Amino acid sequence: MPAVSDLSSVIAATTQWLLHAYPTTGRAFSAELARAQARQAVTVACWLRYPDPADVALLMLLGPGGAARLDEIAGTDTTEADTAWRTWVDEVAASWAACLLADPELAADAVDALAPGTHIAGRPVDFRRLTAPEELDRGAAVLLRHPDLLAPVADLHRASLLDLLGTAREAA
Amino acid sequence: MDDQRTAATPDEDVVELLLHRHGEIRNLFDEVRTTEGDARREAFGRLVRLLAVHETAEEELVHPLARTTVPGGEGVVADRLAEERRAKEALAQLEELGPGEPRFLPLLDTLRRAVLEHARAEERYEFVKLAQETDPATRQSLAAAIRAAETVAPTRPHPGVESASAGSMAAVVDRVRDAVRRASAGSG
Ligand SMILES: [Fe+2]
Ligand SMILES: [Fe+2]
Repeated sequence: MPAVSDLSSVIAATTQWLLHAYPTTGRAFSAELARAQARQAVTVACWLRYPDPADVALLMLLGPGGAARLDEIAGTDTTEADTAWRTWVDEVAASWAACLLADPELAADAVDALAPGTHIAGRPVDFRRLTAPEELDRGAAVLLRHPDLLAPVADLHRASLLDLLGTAREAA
Repeated sequence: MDDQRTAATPDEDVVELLLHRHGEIRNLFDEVRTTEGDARREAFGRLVRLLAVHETAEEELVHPLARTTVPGGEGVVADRLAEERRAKEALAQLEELGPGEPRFLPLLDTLRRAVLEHARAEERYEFVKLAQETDPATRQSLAAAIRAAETVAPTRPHPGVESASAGSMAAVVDRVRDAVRRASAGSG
């Protein structure tokens, strides 16, 4: 399954961008609980956006675009030294993930809309940290799941996500 | 947490990978128990991260397959999920308490026993059956998916990044992709 590992750097970097922009207020364990939720959201977003191997190949060729516009919106201080990973951030995936984190019902719809095949190879996958967060998860992700705080990022590409999910629902 | 990211091989089997992780968890519990001061704090930090990542990967990828593959899978998986939830709550309490507190070690030991018993139950009721009931390709794709979930953000820039301004790239990708779709739809 080359598609899985090829996307993993983009998923990891985009996850990291969300965690930097919406940090947990707790300790190391909270940070990991927040990371799991963000990673699942970004994974679903990337699988929706790059459903087949040709999409992934093209992404690898052209690059995911980077975090420049996201950083502008979030007011990130990018003078810090570790900026290399930001070139692996996918702006649309970050925006779609923000939509999903703000709205677990929309997240459940998005998981239902995932095409069987390429990424999950016919295996069942359970994204319940994203779709059914528990008290510990919510406590670790107060900023990461706050609809008002997510809005500037979520609004960027929300329309194309809703379009895609609407189309998937009609096809089903 | 470099120790949990030993190099992946393309034909890695998920059962081997998970057994390896269980070994790492067991060793880290011992390390936290036998160190002091900053060394214990640092080892506990690694344990927290390893446990969080491992249990999430099992919940996301391994239990769903076990649910449909293992005899009585629904019940087996429900038990494991309940154990994982209890372990998370105990881990959060332990972190709150901090390694310097006298109550830390007894609570750590309680958690250690629960986690290791949980791991043994997984090995007995899920991993053995997955090894028997699934084909090698499925187990390899599952291992790759777990590795992908463990991936950290790259430290080198994407090779294509200097060729275009980052902000415009998303639009370019969309345009090229639409063109490719139209072309392949026309030829197929
Ligand atoms: Fe587990
Ligand atoms: Fe386990």
